[in-house]
Amino acid sequence: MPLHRDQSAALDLLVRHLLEEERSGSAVEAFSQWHQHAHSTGARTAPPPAPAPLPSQVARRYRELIPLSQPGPGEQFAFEVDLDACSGCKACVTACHSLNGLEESESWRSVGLLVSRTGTPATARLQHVTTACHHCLEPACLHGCPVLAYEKDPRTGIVRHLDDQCIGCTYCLMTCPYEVPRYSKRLGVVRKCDLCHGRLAEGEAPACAQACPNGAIRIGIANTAALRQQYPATRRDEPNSFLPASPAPSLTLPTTRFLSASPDTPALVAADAAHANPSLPHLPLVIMLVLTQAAAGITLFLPFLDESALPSASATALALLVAGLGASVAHLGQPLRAWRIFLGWRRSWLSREALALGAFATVAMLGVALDQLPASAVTAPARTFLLALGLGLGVVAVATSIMVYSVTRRPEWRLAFTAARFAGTALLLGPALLLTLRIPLPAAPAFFAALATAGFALGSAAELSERRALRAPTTASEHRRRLLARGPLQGLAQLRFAMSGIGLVLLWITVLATPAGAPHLLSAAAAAALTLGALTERVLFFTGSAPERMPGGVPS
Amino acid sequence: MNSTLLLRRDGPMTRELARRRVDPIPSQIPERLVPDAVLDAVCGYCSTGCNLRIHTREGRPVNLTPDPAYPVNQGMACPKGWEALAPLSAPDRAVTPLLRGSDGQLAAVPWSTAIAEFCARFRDIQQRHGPDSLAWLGTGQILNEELALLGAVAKFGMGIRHGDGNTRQCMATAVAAYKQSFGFDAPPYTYADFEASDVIVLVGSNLCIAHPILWQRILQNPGHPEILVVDPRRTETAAAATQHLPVRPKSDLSLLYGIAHLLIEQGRIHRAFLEAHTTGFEDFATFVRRFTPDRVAADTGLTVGQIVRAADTIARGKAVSFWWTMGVNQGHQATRTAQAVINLALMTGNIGRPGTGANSITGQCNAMGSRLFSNTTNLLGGHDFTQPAHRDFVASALHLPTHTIPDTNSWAYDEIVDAIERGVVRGLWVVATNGAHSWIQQSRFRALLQKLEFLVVQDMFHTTETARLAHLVLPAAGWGEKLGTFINSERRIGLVQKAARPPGEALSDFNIVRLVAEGWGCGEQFQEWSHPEAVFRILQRCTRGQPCDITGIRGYAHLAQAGGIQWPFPDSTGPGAEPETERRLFADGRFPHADGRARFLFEDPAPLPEAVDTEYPLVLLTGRGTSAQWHTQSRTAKSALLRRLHPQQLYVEIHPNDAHPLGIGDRSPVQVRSRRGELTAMAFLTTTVPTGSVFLPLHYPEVNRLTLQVVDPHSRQPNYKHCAVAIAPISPR
Repeated sequence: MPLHRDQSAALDLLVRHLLEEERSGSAVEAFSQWHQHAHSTGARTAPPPAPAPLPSQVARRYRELIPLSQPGPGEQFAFEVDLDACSGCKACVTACHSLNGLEESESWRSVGLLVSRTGTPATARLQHVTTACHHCLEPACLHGCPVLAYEKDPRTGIVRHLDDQCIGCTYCLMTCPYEVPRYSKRLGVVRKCDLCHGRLAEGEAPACAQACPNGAIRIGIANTAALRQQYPATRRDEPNSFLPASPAPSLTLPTTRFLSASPDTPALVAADAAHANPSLPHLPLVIMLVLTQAAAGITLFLPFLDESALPSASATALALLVAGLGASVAHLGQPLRAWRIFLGWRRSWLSREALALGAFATVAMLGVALDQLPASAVTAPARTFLLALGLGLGVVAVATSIMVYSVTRRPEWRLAFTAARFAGTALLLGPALLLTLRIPLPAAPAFFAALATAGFALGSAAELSERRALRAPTTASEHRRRLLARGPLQGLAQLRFAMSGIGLVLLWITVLATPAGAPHLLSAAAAAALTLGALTERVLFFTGSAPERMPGGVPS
Repeated sequence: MNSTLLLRRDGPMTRELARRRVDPIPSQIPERLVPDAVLDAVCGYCSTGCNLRIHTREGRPVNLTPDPAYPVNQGMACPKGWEALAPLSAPDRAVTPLLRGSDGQLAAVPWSTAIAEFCARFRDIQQRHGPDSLAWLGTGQILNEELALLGAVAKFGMGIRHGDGNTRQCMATAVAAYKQSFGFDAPPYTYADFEASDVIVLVGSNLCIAHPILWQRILQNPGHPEILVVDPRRTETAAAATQHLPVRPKSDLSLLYGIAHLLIEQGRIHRAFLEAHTTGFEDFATFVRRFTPDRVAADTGLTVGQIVRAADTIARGKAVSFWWTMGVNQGHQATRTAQAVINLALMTGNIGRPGTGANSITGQCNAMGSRLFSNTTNLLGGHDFTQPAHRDFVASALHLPTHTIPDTNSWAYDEIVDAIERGVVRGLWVVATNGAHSWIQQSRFRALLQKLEFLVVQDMFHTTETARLAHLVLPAAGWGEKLGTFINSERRIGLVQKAARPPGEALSDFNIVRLVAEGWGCGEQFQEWSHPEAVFRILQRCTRGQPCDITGIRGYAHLAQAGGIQWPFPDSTGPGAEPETERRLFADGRFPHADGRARFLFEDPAPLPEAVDTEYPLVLLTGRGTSAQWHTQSRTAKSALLRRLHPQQLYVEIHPNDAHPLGIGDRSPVQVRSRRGELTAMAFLTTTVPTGSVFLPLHYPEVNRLTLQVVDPHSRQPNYKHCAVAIAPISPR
């Protein structure tokens, strides 16, 4: 039953009129409490009323959230969280986002949950925990940063991040036990809580503190000497006097104080205790580590090679190094700023690793260049020198790589384990690649194959001993690593051993067959299988890591 | 800051985070988002009614901060409020009318086609099947002016007899309870009462999560009040209480009667108040004698000591306030339970004074407005369709002939649903609600929607579970894109300003209804309803002489300047009079019943509609999950930040003692079944739920597959809080 024509025309007219009305913009002219520019249009323009003064109770509340005085010597600003007042509304998270103008889903504060797993509703504990950067006395983010992009303000103690200095290496995401630094894909740098330093400077409380309806977040003044005494540098703090189910405070000396009048309940567990997602695989780092370690492995044997075999072997080492370093650049969010990476050499193992790898590659390049020159009186001693230097730098480079991870103090990356895995890779791939290059070797091929097998055994020993530890997990980290190892990463681990195993078998076949009899294809297959196995091992190194962390919410 | 080539302390990325102070915002804000204007709007999520300050630049919203000067929220907001702008720019906004074509697909059509089709199809159904064949389901989420125009055009212009709102799902019980007990739907309190009580009793109310900004008011109470929380679960609010009474699900009625019995037995009642201002007390006193502490302990699972202590605390209180929310409202005997709360306030004289009251905390931002102005259950202005005097009054206030006003009540939501099943209702107009997600016994409801000849869904998003089933989708503007008023829980009328333009061809619900009226041919009847503020003046006229009289409000500017105005505010207050910021009702002890007395209403606890048995051995409780989620999540899921604040996947809370024997561990995938449907969820083991019960957060679309089609007989509000389920691991560990 269509409308008759008049009605239809009237409707069209009204539609146009109403769409026009919707587009005519906001009601700024009519009701704006305040606006910056006098609007020249709009008949209903009225002079904007004077901004309402802050109601005294609100002003008082804001004032009470910050200390009356600045920190003195031996003191710094610190968050104080009244756990009894935190009811889990998460307004702090959203206020941090809006008042600091962060990315769409970015906030520097988060709220976790601790629950009890025994008792009844009459006795159950339900503790929400609002948390942000703890502005630690020993900030692991700062100590690890290769470009000095972190500064701890000597007066306020605020740990600030220099966004224009950051190269986006995300090493601080690995070193901070509290998951505080967050990487911005859009900017290619890390950002973090700055305790709203600009607000504090003007006598205003940080965004999260202002926005807490319950007044659960305050800024207090921490006494640094007292904190050092409270959290002595023991390996593990049991029970955790910082917060139940959180990383040991002795790692970084966090300054936040979580206050509660409720009796300590050791039975509290994090709501996400049984939840583990594989960590990021960091493929560029995987490639970088494996290839540079392979190069170091080759370099170990260069001084012992026949002169005729040297050019192809050292060229292989150089190629691996260049490829590895090239891959590592892909890891950076801001590669054009990477030249500053040496700045942190006094305290950052990442800086030292970059320097060592850079020097190692330079020497390898010189060595290859030297190989191009006609032999002379100069080349021989120069070559000897470069070979020795290269060998030393290769060892140092692998050692710095090991330190990069072991200083994060994640148990799964502890020194012995990481050293065994990284050195094992060098020992496996160095001899194995030399064998598959089919060049004259200074010893029986079987010796090299045995060395490679030993390298594999070394790395595997560390991996297997980690798996054994996970059989009877005691810590939250072990529980979650076990979930990963038996869950999403199980297939990858099987693949890793299968590939390395096949590679070794092929390697032994090439060795045990007569040197001339082994086809090139077999060698290439052995090299490929072993390299892929090593790469997979390194992916597992990253993805299988599950450090202690702050309690999270009910997981998805 | 000194920046060198080696050490860049400054630069574009650093400056991106620069902040500075700009009047009138009491906090530094991001420099790159400094507004050129700010517009105030009462929040469009819950009924707390926080005022939010929308920062705009060149006519577009860029940021938002809570208003520090508004009496309700005092500079605070919950995560939903902070993120209230996010849904406006969601990619699935409906930007053009969509009509289902012969191929079964929704396709864009011009407004004129959409409206012509709407009117033609509805008129055809009405002509073939009579006046009962059309209905609408409205909402507590749109502005007073919009829902009034919708109700007026539908009933007075289009002759649609039946309309109800999603408020049936949240507030109908409070409405029925107040009407029967007081004589008018009048929540008596003001938020300052939270700060003035020495005893606060919360029944079925998880304020910390559902109304965080009201919990703030309790924490601001300087007297460290006793806080009693009646809730089967250890909610955040229960954990923060001084006395948590973890009753068995749906045994609250017995507890409330038991407390009344103790108070009467001990003579701790306000005789003078009862004699002067109430009727029915003696019968009530006789009735509650059977609720001895022993019986109540057996009913509720509490100890006698807990019950006696609770009664004693209430008796000792000098200013006791009683508050209830969905735990009470959504039950099979909800109205009587709400009235059991009211009875306690009346018998102890805890009403009409600061810090007292029998106080229903509302759900949606404008549920209170819909109660007065949606023209569904009540005739405009809290009037009664069945009373000739009321029809005459409203007709004259609207300048309409009286015969255009129906003399019968609308069917309630559940009755409209039943009528679809019977083939009576064949055309349905759904406005700003998502019943295919939120209505009980979901599979039945969805099947019935598909049975309709014509389903029109008017919404911000074309992706809601209900919109996907529509024959016609009308694209609506959202909160922040339109002008009008809301009424919050404490009866405060607040202004909502337009800070953004609706996307594409979306129109405000107000303008959509104007178009429908024009298309229907009844546009002339509503010529005076040309602008929201003009409608507001009409609504004011409709309230004259009512308990909710707001004839003294001098327009929108007055609302903006006063920080919202609570009803009543009659013009008899005096010309130029200014309302006090916080006002409560019944200070004189006079109630709106004709005799001025409040009634004691009560009834024996009825058997549970679906008791647990061996096949379905667990009670299903539902409720809000986090304060970052709202109802069916059609809006909150649009914020990337809010999505970080709650689990993306459905989880079921279960006590370890119930889980372990079934082989269910923390994070085990499980199947939850009821007689009506099943769903899968991740188990979350927690001792905050009682053994014998499981809890599901209502925000996930699967949950109402399980719930049971049972309503309270007085309020016709569904019982979401109790049905029998079974749970089993999907792959035992």
